[in-house]
Amino acid sequence: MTLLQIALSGLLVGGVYAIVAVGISLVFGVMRIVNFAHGDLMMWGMYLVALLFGTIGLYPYLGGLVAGILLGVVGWLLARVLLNRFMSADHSLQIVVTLAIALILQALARLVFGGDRIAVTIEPFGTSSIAIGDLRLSSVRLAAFLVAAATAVALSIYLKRTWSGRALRAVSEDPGAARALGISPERMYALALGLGTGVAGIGAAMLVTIYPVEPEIGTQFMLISFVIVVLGGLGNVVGALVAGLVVGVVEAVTGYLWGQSYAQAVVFALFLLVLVVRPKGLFRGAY
Amino acid sequence: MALTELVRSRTSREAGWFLLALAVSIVAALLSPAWGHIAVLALLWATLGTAWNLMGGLTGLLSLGQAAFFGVGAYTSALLFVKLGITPWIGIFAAAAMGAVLALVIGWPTLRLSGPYFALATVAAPVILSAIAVANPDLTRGTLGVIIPFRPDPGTMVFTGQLPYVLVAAALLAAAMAIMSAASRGRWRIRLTALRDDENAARSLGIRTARVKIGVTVVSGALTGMVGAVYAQYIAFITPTSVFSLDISIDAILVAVIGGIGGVRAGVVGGFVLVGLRQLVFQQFLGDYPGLDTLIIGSVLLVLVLVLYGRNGSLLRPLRLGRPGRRRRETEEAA
Repeated sequence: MTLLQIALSGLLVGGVYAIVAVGISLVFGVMRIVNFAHGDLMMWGMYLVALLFGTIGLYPYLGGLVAGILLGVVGWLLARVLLNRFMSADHSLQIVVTLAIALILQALARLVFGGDRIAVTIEPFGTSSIAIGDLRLSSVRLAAFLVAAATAVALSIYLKRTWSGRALRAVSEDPGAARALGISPERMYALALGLGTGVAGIGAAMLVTIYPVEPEIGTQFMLISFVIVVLGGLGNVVGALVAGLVVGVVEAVTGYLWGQSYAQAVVFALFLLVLVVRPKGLFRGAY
Repeated sequence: MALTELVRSRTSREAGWFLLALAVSIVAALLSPAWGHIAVLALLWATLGTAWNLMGGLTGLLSLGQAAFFGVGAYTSALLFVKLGITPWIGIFAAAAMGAVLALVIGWPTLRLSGPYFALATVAAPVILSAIAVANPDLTRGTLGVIIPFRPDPGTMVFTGQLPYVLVAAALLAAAMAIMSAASRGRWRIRLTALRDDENAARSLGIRTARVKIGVTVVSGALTGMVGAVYAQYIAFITPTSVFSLDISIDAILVAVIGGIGGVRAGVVGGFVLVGLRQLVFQQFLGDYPGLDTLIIGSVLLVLVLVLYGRNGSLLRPLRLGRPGRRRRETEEAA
């Protein structure tokens, strides 16, 4: 029973991880860039949601929409102004560019907010939980889990069913051929980064109800997101969701059995193993 | 005849950069403890960056996990000293050995990964090692960290002033620069740059790419392990989060990128600029503006990447400052 409870809590945490990972995966799928700034953009989203709640009392789940739109615009601009210049550059240079953005974003947060942690507790279900039989689920985590799942599924449907979604996939498969068909890869890169960071904005609202915000929180979530993104297959959005859940459960169960620090070692060892055995991820197909 | 002159002048230029770093550091150490502190860290970070440059700059292996080698080196030497009383003068070589072994263990499976996959794999190594260090408090005291007791004795590499540490760190830097210099000329330069530019082509020319990549990683790991050992001895206090941190891995890249990818002098330039800037901002404002140093460094990095590296679309092709004309002529002649 306890183990089941632990696994279930892990599943919910996995949903939170997945929110962060989905955006990284989408951006890599289309742009072939590992966005090291993703976590720090999300951290800014968390501050925004927390401040909107603290000053004008905007409910975090609504604040998440504001953060999502705002971060989406920031991502779109980042691609337009900066990253599109590096699309034909090699991976090392692309990674260093996003690292530079990440450093600047984190440093700015430290300058503006100092070392203060801001926690957001929302009523009515701030710390409450829902009971199903003997199992207890934290309300905010359950909400985060549901939003993560909905976001990933919506993204996946968008990529499959809409014209611009198909255009995104076309660019991801062959930018040259897409251009020949009248799709501008540059626009699609900007759209992909905008979508990816927009999702991070929505995720930020979910995270801020669970974890206090601090400037370093983006890095923590980014590291675990890399694990998830690779397990799910870089570029595979639904894969990222499933992998997020897997990682959440594995972490919770190993943490319960062997202790929290071993849980981290196990998760990252699993990551290395998958990278070596199946670098394209555990799941077949993309999106 | 002209060739030997060229080699001689290059060697002397590289030696010149080292001697400049050494002279500046000695003067700094004599000036005040604050300046001496900057000098020691700058020399250590110069070596850290040079070791990264060997992998990332010359061979094109983008490592985001140098902290793994750094931390293992730091823990090896510190634990040998604290637990078994083995002098760090021996411990530093044990640290090199552990760094090399770790490079083999990490490198063997991951080096066949290409592009961003290798970079992502290297991110994981320090996280795993940090978790292991936390999870074994009997050996490492977990999150409490290891403290090197302050009992000044040259025999155990515990000194009162900064000058002795300057000399130790400089010796390490000299070794790193000598290796870098040897690797960036002659046969090795051809091997490594061929590997960097086109792995398949390199293999078809008879270069044993797997072996070369492992070799470079092992050397880089050993050097970085030694830097970690000296760092532990100098700071006298290490924790899993301080030595296995992503910041160390990023610093290694920053030093190399700021100093010039693939260059022998890159460590010296990047190390002194990075550490100097950081410490000066800290000493000027004493933490009034947390993040100001990182903001400056991040902006410098962005400008460098946009203006210099962005021009040839690659981090790895060497920069040719102020000599674009000569390069164009060469390509025209070749065409």
